[in-house]
Amino acid sequence: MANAWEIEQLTVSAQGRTLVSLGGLTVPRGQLLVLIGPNGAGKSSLLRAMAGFAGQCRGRLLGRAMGGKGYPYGLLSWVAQHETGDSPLSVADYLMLGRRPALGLLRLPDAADHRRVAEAMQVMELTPLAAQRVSRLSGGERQRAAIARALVQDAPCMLLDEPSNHLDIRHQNLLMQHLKQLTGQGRTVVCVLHDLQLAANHADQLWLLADGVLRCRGTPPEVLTHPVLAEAYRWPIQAVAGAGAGQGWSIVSNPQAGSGMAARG
Amino acid sequence: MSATIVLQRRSGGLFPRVWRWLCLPPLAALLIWLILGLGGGQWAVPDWHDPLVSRLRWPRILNALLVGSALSLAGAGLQALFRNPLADPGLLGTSAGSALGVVLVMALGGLGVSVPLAAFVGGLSVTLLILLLNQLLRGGQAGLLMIGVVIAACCGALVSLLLFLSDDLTLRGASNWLAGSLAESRFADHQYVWPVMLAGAVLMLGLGRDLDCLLLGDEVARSMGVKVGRTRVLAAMAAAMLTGGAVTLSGLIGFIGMMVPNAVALCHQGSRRQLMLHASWVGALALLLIDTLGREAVYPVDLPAGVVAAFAGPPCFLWLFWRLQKGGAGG
Repeated sequence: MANAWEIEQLTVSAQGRTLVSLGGLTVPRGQLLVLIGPNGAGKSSLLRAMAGFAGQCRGRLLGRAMGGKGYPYGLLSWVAQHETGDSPLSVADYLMLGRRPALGLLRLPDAADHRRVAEAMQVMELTPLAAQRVSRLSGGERQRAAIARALVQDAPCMLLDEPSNHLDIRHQNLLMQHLKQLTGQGRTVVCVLHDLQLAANHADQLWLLADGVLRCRGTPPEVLTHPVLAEAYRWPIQAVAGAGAGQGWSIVSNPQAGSGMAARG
Repeated sequence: MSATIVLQRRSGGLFPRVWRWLCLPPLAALLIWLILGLGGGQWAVPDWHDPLVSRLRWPRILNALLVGSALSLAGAGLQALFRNPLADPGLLGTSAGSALGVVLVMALGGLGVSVPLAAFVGGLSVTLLILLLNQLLRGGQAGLLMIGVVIAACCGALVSLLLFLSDDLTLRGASNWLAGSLAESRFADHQYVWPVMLAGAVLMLGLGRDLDCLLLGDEVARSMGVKVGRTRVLAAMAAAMLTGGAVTLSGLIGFIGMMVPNAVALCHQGSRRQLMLHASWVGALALLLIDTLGREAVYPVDLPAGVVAAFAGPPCFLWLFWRLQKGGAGG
């Protein structure tokens, strides 16, 4: 089974308006797929449909039919754009909720579960906050806690809706590095990102959406150098490849400075 | 910094956690013993053979404990279900349905049904109606809240209409019941509610972990393997069993179910299951104190517990909230 998702036809509509419609797509296993596109392009709708939360999706996820009654629980972990709920949980307890698929309703967490939570706390640099109340965390800390909770789940697929929200530059990059590391272990990660530079430097594959349609897809160099990128965002964007190896891409979106830099790149 | 160390030493060294928990049952027993002896504005060592103690005070105390515990447990569960700290066991129409059942029986004179049974059946059937409607309309959590409020309002209108049309004696009896009094507690009256309440408590506590997940949003919960719709229905049923039983024993008592879980959540950090367990003993003792206050404060008038709760609750909660706000800002 080389593909995580095999999407035959996917449509999300609300109140008679089609938000996203696409079809005939696959997402290989062990890839980091990033959905990019302007506001209202349908990125979140697509992500929700891929999880089975919204719309109609005909296809298969890890070989199981989607859209039917037998929704593949436990196959994916999910990080929402905004998480609701003001619960009196400590950060450690909150992360332990991620073990819910493994624990069921009644089993108490054992040493292995606690170890898994401690690992995820270390990855997201939450260890000093372990005893804090989730509701007292700052926006960025709360976001890191939500990501750590999804990590603890150890699901084969992970879906994240704008996970870099509220994160500082260090944690944005640490997050992407860790997601990349997960794909190395055969997990499939799909996330929505607004930060094109972050997307360019870490993604295996980019899907560019605009007006509910998939405008362009491919590796970061393919998508970033395509003229459709600037057109989709309706803003002059130029991607500049770094000079040396490992220098990565930088995104230039200043209309004045853009032309000069692009000439050099 | 030094304050933190002092606090740690106090909670860790001199008065460790285990001791706090070991102290609790004897303290609760002492409280119950003191209240057993209290009557007519004075206190005497409780005499177990005195029918006043064994037939009146003892069942009243047990009912207060049971009702307070059930309402608080139901409130703690529903606050997670509705993702709203202001949620109250009354939100699912159980109390309104019980009121309708009772007033119906009182106004129409008997029908061969006792008042507690009418309360019980009325409460549970109205909650079932709400759940059924929500299932048909696929309303989700917001729909459940809205349908609950709407149906409760309908029941309230029917109660008002029936009271308007009935005579003074019925009105007096109904208003006594609606105010929520524990004065007429007897052992034998309503033993059928005990197992139902127990089942409700077990069900609600069993759902604890899923309620924690549900608090984070339907989609997050679903991704964690929670069967969202089923959990919502089961939690609502458990709350209805607890509230229905409580209302049957005591009539309508507000505030406890909303206030106690919030007070516990302010002081205690932990899972929903722990919160529900703590809320249930805190609520039991709180209602016992409230009822005793109503019984003795303005003796010989026996104030209904529902009235005292409505008076005593808000100031207590404001104080607690203020204290924690202050603590949060300082630390």
